[in-house]
Amino acid sequence: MAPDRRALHHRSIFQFHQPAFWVFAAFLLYGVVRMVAGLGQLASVSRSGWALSWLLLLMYAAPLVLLIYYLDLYEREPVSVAIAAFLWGAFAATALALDAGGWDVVLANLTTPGFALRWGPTLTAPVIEEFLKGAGLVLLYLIVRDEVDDMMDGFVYGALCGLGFAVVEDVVYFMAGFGGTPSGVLEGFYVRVVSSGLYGHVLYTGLVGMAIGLLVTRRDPTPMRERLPVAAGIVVLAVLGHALWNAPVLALAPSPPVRGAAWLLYPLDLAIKGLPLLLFVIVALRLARDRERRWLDGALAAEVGLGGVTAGELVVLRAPVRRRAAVRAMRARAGDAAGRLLGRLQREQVDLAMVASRVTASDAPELVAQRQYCVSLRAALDAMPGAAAAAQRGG
Amino acid sequence: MMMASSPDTPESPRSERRWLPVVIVAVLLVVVAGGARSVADATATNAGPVTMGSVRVQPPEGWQVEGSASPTSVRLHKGPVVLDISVGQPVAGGPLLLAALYREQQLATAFEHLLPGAPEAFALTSGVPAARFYYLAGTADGVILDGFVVAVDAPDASVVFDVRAPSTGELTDVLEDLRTMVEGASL
Repeated sequence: MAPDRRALHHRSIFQFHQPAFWVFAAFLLYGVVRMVAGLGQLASVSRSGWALSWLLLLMYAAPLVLLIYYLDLYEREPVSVAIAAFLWGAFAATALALDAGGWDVVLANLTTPGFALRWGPTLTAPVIEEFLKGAGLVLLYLIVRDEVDDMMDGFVYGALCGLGFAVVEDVVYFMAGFGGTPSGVLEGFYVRVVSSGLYGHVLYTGLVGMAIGLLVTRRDPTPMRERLPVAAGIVVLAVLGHALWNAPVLALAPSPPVRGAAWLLYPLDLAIKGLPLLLFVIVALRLARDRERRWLDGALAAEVGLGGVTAGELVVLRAPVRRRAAVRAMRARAGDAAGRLLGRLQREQVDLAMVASRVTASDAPELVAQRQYCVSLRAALDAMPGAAAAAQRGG
Repeated sequence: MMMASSPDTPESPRSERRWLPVVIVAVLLVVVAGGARSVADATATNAGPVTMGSVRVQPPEGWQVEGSASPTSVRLHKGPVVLDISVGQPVAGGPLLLAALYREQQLATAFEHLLPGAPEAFALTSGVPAARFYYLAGTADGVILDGFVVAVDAPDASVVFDVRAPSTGELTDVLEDLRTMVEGASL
């Protein structure tokens, strides 16, 4: 019986046989019920303000979702898993965070109400919220283990989860903290999104996701005892970044009523707290991309000449710009169908790298099957009029 | 592809391995999200009865007096939930006017943003007329608060109970405490 290639990769979230799926679904259902009721109540403050909140946040979140989703150079995460990560952040993590508000009571009991009100968001919220969002990522990993291959995968899922959390939290802030009227919502959008939309939950949970990706990766031969402290350090950094963001220190934001140039102090104030972590994440993502590239080179080096990938194709494959250029050239010379087929061949060659990095023998059945599949795709492509010449030009 | 189980790797340990991390994550989620209330109750201390002039209030378990009570006001807290009790002369316009005055003179000046609900008249079980309303408030620091006011207009004194909490669900948990204090107050 030939190995089932579909089982190797690109799973959907709906893994009914996995216990983690049902736990994930139960918490998510609880969150949806709780948060939809709460968000519905906020609509009674001002329907126009409520609708404007969602419209503005959609305009903010949509391009960010695409940016996050396309960060991974070599593979696209399954859409259903990416949506599940977003929904966990938006509903399950926010609802559970409301339940965990009792830790502020504990802090107040152990100190004073004034101290808890001022320092609770710094001392309790970062730890609890990052745990609640991170637990969702762990459940996602337990549902679709094959889909969390490395740090970049972890960042993508984590950032989407953080974005979901931020969107729902922002609706609450716009409606309650900024008055809920259209002018209040616009003020809130300026302060919380325009001035600080690149910092916040997307970064923190993206880092937590990277830590999870580092721990569970099967591409890195580094022993777990060496990866564990690095992953723990990344999580601590995420929590500290969150705590600094919430802390009532380094605050340059103007006191209301804000007029004229004083509005410009908001981006300055928020950049002081958020920019260092943003820069760190950009550097970490670049390192993660380099690491992905090295992984692809290492995984496919032994495959060159065995049929699955040629040396020329590997040169094209490792650079996304060249990949897209090759597809464009194929489409121009041999038509849309040929362009699509080349794109598919490239994706299957990335999958070949994944299979190659998971097996120990070069004649493992799933590796041989994937190699043969790439050979058959290339043969189909070569049979298309004009495609062979375009393929040679492109790679 | 279904793998056949070999004699060396029986099915039950594999099944346990699949469940164990899931159970650990689920338990941690429940403890972190749901255990906070239990720990909060365990770390709370109790306050005795509070007297302001002719008005006497017995706080339920878990409430503490902040500072000391004056003849006209006292502040209690239970964790981050704050309850201000203000005592004054009876108001000629009744509890609805008392509630409106409190909203305009106290709440509107205390917060950066205020979204009050409309006061609703009702009567305590003793028959004393009262009014109540919810409000949502935002402080200059950006903290969002849920609040609830009960204004009681007794023959010898007017009393306003103003309870507020961070907008994270705590207010709902103390409304029963508030009802106990309002109904049990000696006016």
